[in-house]
Amino acid sequence: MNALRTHSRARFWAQAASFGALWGGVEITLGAFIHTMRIPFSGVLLAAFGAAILVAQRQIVPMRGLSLATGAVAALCKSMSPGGVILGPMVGILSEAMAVEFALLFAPRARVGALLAGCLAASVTVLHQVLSLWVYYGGRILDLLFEAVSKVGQLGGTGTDAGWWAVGLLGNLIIAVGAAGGLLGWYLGKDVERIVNPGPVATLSTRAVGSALGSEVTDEG
Amino acid sequence: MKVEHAPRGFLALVAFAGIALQFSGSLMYSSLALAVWMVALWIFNPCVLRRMWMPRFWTITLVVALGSGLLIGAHDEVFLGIPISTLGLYAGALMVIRGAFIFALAGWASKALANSGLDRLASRFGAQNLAISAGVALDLLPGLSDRIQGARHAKANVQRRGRWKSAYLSAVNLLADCAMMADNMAKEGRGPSLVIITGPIGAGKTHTAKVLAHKIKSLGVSVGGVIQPRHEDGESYLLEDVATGRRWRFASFDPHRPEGKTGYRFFEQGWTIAASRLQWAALHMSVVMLDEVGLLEADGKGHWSAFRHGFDNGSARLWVLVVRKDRLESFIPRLGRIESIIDVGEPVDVEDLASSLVELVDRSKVETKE
Repeated sequence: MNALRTHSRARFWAQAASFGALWGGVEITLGAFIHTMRIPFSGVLLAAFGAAILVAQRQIVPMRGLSLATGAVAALCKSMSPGGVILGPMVGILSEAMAVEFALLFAPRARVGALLAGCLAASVTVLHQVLSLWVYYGGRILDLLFEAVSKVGQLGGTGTDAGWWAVGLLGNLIIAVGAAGGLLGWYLGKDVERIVNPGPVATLSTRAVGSALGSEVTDEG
Repeated sequence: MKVEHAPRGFLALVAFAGIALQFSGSLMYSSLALAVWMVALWIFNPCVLRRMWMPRFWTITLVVALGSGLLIGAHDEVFLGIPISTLGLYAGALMVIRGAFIFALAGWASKALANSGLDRLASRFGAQNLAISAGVALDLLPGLSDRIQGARHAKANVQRRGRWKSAYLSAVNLLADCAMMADNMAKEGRGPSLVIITGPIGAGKTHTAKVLAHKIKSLGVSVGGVIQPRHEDGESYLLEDVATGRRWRFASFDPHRPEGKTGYRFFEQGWTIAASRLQWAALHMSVVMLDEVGLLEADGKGHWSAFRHGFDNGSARLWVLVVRKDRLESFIPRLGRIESIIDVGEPVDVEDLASSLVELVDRSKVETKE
């Protein structure tokens, strides 16, 4: 029993190391690429990729807490990133992992859990951006953002609400990108599981094996 | 590295003092904190100061300051014909100063905690497993980063129509490799040994495997499994049970294959026989041979399921896999600890090889008993 528990713990941390390295690698290589290409909302795209990796992992190894541990390892890997400030992205990775862990807590292998995980991971990224602004610039930044949104609507001549409609649309788009990431992870996970945990060897009935063995090639045939 | 030698304690003290000064909400105190912190960095850690050259961050900061003047508070002044608010400008300037201070602080903290610092921190908080795991991940990182880059470039070489499918399959393979690498790490030191016979097409891999099986048998060790020799007609393959020498038809060249594909038509019963012989060998033989591990197995089909089950649950001490050289690289991460890779493209002393494999089996039996 103890050996089983030790093996299970070893497997948990080995999976966290392996997938954490993968996520960290994606953040460093693909992240650098996306940032260099100046693609807007690159954080949301990376969060969707992260959610896909974590959701796929939980389809293969449905161990509670694994997404969080993987996130912690990926965050530590991110410390190798050659950028100037890494603390923010590390906190971002950890919060995305926490969101995915929460979403997959009760139904780690259900499609709806995967969708929710992607949505939450992408939303957390935006929340993290807003929080970062708040930490950097203080509470006034939020007043400034609200004012800016209202003014944008007024400038467009469509009233203050138009700005908020635009924000809502953008929010939905972000959530949709996250959901796509989660769903992609779910499909990937199912396909990977087929390779990693192949089901029991095709039920070999004695009759089928016997008949197959009877078709032996002889020197004459 | 300079960071290692910087007086961390002193800098931490200055940082805390600077943070305390931010609570007053005064522009003067915030500016003082920023100035002191910049000077401290310039003296003890100039590389962090150099890292603060980030045009994007400073542009946003400028926009924030100007935006405050334009949007927050009553417009009581006019600058260049634009009505502005002094209160908003003051608030904006305070935000910018605070932002710059915290940005510089985060730059230093990131550098101070990076790499081994974070590992040590994790260990100090009782998260040894996390620290070990992070160490393993950092070892895996360069290889995986190469694979991610490789997958991205490979996608560009495929025709547009098949690009997404190819990218999806690359992702499936990458994730499968990660999962299996982790499983192999977790059971390191346990389970059967693994030897691979490889070489280009037509180099004599199957023949070498057959001769090797014969030599191992002659040294008194039981051998089972399946190999796939070519039929005399030259166009089809047979399935041969290594333990008994019985043969069945396994695959034949498909003349109606889709254009551009070199395909074989497999006899369905061939897979059933192969699975049953592999299962039996994994349970009753010391050495199991498996021939032609290739494209199908990489996709989780073919012999893969029988191999995984036999390898994980059987009592055989050694598995000998025959893998084509151009497929080898994709299998290595999935197979874990490989004792040896024998390339039949170079001269191989089969007798000598058989003796070392028998030694390996004997050693493994002793270890299991202990």
